Amino acid sequence: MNEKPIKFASEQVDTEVNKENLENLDSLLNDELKQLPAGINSSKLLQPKSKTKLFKAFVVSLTGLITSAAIYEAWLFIQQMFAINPILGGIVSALVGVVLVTGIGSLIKGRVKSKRLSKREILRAELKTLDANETYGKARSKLEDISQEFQQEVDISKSLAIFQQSAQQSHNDSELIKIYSDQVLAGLDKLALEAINKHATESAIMVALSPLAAADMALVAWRSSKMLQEISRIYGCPQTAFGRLGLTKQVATNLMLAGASELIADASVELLGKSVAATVSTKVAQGIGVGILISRFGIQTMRLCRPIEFTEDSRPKLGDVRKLITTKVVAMITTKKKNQVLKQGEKDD
Amino acid sequence: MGVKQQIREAVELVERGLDKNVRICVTGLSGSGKTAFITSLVNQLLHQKSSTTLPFWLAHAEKRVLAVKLIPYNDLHIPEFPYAESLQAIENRLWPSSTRNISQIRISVKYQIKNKWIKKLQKTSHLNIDVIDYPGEWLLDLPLLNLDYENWCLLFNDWVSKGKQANLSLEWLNSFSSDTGQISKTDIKGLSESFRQFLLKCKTSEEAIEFIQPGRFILPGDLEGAPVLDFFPIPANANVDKNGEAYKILVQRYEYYRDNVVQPFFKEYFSKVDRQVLLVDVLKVLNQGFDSYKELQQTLSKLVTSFNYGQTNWLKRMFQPKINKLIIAATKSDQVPPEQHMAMKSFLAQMLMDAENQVSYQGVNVNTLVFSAIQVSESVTAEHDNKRISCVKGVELDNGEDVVNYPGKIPVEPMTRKQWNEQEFNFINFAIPDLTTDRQLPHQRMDRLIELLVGDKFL
Ligand SMILES: Nc1nc2c(ncn2[C@@H]2O[C@H](COP(=O)(O)OP(=O)(O)OP(=O)(O)O)[C@@H](O)[C@H]2O)c(=O)[nH]1
Ligand SMILES: [Mg+2]
Repeated sequence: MNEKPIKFASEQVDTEVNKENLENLDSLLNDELKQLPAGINSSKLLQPKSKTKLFKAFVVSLTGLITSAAIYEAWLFIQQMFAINPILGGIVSALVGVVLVTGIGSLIKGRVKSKRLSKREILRAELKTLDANETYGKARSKLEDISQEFQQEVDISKSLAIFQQSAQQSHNDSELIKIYSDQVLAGLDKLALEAINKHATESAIMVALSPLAAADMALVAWRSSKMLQEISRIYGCPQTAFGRLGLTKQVATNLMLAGASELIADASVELLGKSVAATVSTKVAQGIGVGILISRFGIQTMRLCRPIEFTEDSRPKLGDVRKLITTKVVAMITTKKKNQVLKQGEKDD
Repeated sequence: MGVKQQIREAVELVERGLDKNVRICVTGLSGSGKTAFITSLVNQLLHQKSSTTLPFWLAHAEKRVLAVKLIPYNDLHIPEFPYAESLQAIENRLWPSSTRNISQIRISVKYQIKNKWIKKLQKTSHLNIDVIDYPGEWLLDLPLLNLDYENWCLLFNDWVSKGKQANLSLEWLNSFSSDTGQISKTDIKGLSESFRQFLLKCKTSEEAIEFIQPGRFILPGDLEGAPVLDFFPIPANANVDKNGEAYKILVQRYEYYRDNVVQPFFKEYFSKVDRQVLLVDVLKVLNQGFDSYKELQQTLSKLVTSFNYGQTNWLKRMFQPKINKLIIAATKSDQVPPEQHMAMKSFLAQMLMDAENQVSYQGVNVNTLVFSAIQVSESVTAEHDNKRISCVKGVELDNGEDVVNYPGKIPVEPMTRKQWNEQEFNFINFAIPDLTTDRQLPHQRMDRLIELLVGDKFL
């Protein structure tokens, strides 16, 4: 209390256009404003902390073993080449050198971007508290950092420009986050959903058409990994092959933790799927099922990559995707059948 | 009957069913910023097409607003809101002048329908928004509707014996005691005039005296010089024969004023209102201190609760108001550094908590907000005593000088009387800077206000 008002003549002081807040912000929040009741809906099961020490040691020693074996092999190989011809040996060792440098370089670079994903979770939590407490001046720099990460992968210059025009000095953090989510992230969400649609329908159709049940598994793994890569790139945190494995695991765990509400939603999906299934062959129904699974996978990936949590309005709805897949696959199969019938007819003639 | 015919009829039914008119009641004491708000509202809507500063108006963000224009309204006897003149004033770097009479404006917004059922029948619809502007002074006549002359005198004498108005009233009271206490018919005109002078003195005094009744004595509108304004309350020190002719005239005029001036105004204006926005100048009371704070709190609570929503059922019976949304908004937020807006909002909420409770208990949806109709300052940080403080920079209204102002810190917790005395505030009124009126006016949170007021009407 008791901070005296001060008035300066304009020439007397140096001023700076206010971008960031410099005063103690937390004092602005009284307890009542910190969103009550905090209890009931906010408890959540934590991610299980797997990986015992023993397992970690195993992984480290295994990688060590494999790398040393590889180095040893390469060494032997170069020696052999030298034995045959020194020029050949020189070329080979130069090649090995190039492979090492570029490999390690890209590994590090990929790792840096890959790492962003794990930071996203912290960021999401931070932005969520800023949003809930309506603080001032803290979100802007964070959003700028995020934009930079996006810009390395996606062209968001237009939506970013709109955001910068709409965001006024007077907006508090909560307002800024909302505007950012609506103006910038909405565009990325759309891209991601398009990717999901594409991959989900493609794999649905592939499964529906593939004659081998065993191939389906491989197909699903391949397509979903591709999709993961695309979505993570859209949200500016592209994953290396290794990181993708981790992300896949995270997504799978999340799907399992998703809880009853989604299960119910899923049940209805399945029910609707069944009514379709009645009219099409089991293989086609399987295809649709796989498509839905992959789109769930994709939506969950979006959730993990997105720096701001979805709101009830911006949340992507599985129903839309499902409808699209079903119609596409069914249309596809029926035209195929028609063609077959036609061909049959031609033969009969 | 063909299918086409049936469809056409269904469309018509939906058309009629859609709520296509919304009447907004802008409530606020004199100087709270009603005219500035309406000017900005019309301006933001008319310039929506190219506007990037309305992200929180959902229909606009979804690009569903097709076109906006001003159209003639049905109440032909009400003068038109001087929008063009207000804009011209702003262009000349002047605030629109204080309102002296009632006026109305109707804005029609054509939009694309989002609702997937209605969309099947028709693609677009329009919403007519009616807004009325009037002098804030008239609002304070609302409690008169429930009072007869005798009770009004009692309440008045109670009010005049207290606070800052007690000193100002001495002259007027003396004009009675010089007499033998009796008033003749011929004295009425003179005494009314000196009563009016007393009220004007209250109005223009340095210390904000909010509660000045009757409102038309200060701003007569088209009643200037009419005999209906020649009356006054009988002060406690005068003894007037209640059977005398003079007294009868006073009662008659008071009742005429109440029944033929005040009542039609409220009835006509407030009976058809759907949405109400209460504008509050919290910065003024922060500048002026505890007593003003209490007075404003009481005045506004009385106003808000008596209007609406069935609390006092005489009003309900009379007007059958259907207000279903109340927005309590603190104006002039651009006089405050934005980091304090949150505190400003909680100050507002605490001040009107009681009123808010009563109103929401009636099932009315209540929201609070901090906004600025026309942003005329810039938020800056300044270096002072090796500390950086957040200030606002603008042209001071009183002297036209460029200033950078740190107005003091609005507390988040309610203040005790002692804290009120210790804490100093200096919120400065700013002049309009050099602006173009060909673009939307700069503002703070007008978009949120629009969304709260009418957002749900864009189906
Ligand atoms: N800084 C700032 N000042 C404002 C704003 N709105 C209103 N004011 C100031 O408040 C004064 C009164 O505003 P009006 O809009 O005339 O108030 P009103 O409620 O119409 O008052 P009456 O017509 O007397 O009932 C203006 O002259 C401005 O000085 C705003 O958004 N920002
Ligand atoms: Mg006015």
